[in-house]
Amino acid sequence: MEKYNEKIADNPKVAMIHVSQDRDEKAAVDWAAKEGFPWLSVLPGDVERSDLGVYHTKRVVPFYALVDGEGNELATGSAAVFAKAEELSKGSE
Amino acid sequence: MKKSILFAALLALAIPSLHARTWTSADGSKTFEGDLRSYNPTTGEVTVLVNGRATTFQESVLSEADRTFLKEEGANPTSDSSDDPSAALEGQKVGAQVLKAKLHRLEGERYKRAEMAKAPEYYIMYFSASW
Repeated sequence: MEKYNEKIADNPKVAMIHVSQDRDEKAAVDWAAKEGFPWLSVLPGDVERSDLGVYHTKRVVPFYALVDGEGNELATGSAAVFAKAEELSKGSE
Repeated sequence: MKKSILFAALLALAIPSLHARTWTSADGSKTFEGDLRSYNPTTGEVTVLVNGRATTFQESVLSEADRTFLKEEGANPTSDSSDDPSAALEGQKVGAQVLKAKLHRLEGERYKRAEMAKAPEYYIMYFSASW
């Protein structure tokens, strides 16, 4: 969450979308409220109807994927994703 | 009848947005959220951005209060399209998918409907669960 607040929240080039893998909404909401999630989320009941599951390319949880606007995967894994996002953000400064 | 059908269609598209106005049907029975994009007082044609999609209809389907609002404010829509990332998002594969997804953001201890406030070049997709 620290990385998000520091590198992503106010970054116009990168957004983070949380796609919940919880089975029910209450579990997702309770966890998010406890942790104070600041990012946009797709809640359990809406995940199947969204098309965002295609970016869950390794069936592990938690899983991070950095994609460009056309959906090309640029990095996976927390460290690699945030490092690449930072690099790309600096690219056009 | 036609007014009813049109309004039901608008209602089905509607989700709250940052600058949305709540529009009411002529008979006052239905409402939907949308950003005013344009209003032509000559033809009575109104265009409202509903759930990221521009929807055009006649002012006659709207309540008197809404028609008054259009006459007073319609020439200068408050939502500047340069502030609205929807068009830019629609132009991207992932942006369009994100627009289509039902997004929420935590406010206090509850999730509330939310929309993308920017059109980024890159997206971090974060898949996680409480367990």
